[in-house]
Amino acid sequence: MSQLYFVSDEPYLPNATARKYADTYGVFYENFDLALYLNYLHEFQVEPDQKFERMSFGQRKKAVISFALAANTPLILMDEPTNGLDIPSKSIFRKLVAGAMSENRTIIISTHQVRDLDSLIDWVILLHQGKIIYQEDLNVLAEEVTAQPNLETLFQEVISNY
Amino acid sequence: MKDTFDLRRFGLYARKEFSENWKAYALSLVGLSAIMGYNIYQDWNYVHSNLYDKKYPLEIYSYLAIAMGPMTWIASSYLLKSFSNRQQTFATLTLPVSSFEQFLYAWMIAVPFATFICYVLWKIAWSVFLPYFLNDIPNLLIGNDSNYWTGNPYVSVFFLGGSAIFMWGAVTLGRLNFLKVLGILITVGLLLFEWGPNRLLKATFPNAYHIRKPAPAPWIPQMVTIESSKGVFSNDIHSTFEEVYQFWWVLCVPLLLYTITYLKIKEKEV
Repeated sequence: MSQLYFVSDEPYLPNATARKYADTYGVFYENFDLALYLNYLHEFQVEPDQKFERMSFGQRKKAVISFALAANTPLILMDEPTNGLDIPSKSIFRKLVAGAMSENRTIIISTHQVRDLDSLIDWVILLHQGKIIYQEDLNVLAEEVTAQPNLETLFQEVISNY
Repeated sequence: MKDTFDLRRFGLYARKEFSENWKAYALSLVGLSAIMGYNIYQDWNYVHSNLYDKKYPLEIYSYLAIAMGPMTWIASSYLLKSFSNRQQTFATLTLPVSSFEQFLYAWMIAVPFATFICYVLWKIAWSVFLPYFLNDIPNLLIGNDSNYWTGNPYVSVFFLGGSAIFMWGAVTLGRLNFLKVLGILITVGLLLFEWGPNRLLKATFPNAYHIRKPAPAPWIPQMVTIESSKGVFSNDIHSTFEEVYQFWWVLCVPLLLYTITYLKIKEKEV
């Protein structure tokens, strides 16, 4: 479990500050980087000394995303990470995730908001009624259509042919 | 082995749990102190009332036993409360701590730690107030019935078996699991150990018009008193398998329930 971090759609957080959370939970992840975490919080404009229960849903989500990226685990699973994020925060999210990507790290994002992640995705898997109905490398797709593929349109096309 | 138990990780987990729940722990200490204070107040009133007979000792150990039972039960429910809420369960299971470490922490706090705290608080409370009792009643006899419940291994059923049942309930029964387990225990206890034996005794002694039995606890040796038109008949019911019976209730039942609880946590992990 210390090799992966899961960002759930509605994360459970204790009644603590974002800084205290890093202090008690960061120790379980050997590569957790506190400075990076505080930097991500700063980028997201989340106050590290404010208690989670006083934060909005979006603020809490941003704190968890920051922690997930700073944990430096080889695998991160994110369920609807952009739910609850305002438009500027979605942009920051894309920027931070793109910056955190490396050869040694895999980020799996499950989302209905495909537009939020268009530019981030390397490999797309479409699920419909609990089954994988499509999977492809987006670079291959882009070569075929000679432009950035529109995932929403792609999904509708795949569904109509299913 | 490291995946199952790592001392450093266990220590970090204990630190996390303490820092997140210290208010609840402190509150339980306050609650326990209030209960003990109330018991001492009752005894104070008793020794100053007309009902008090100087020939009989003041039994103070019973309050300790009474406090220890519920304390371990509540602690058992509380310490595994994360399994009664889906969101919290998921967060608990994705934490890089093994199920065994989570279970062991809950057990250590609920049983040895809680009973030890009860004992220390009880000792402090009585050491503070006993001089006042002795000041008012210099020849006050203090009952030392600790031999009864330290020498009676069945008492451990309350702490070990009880805590295991409440832990099991916390893992499987969801919200309000403490009340649900309590309800189930009372219902099953009354049905199996009160209603059932009463029916059996009535069938065995049809002429009896009043049957008295001890408390509805299966491990208490049964003494039956029957009043009928032929007089009063009283008998202790003993078994040649009493040691086996004791072994079952004192060791096997708690171990079995703890194992079930642990396996239930493992099942959620999958």
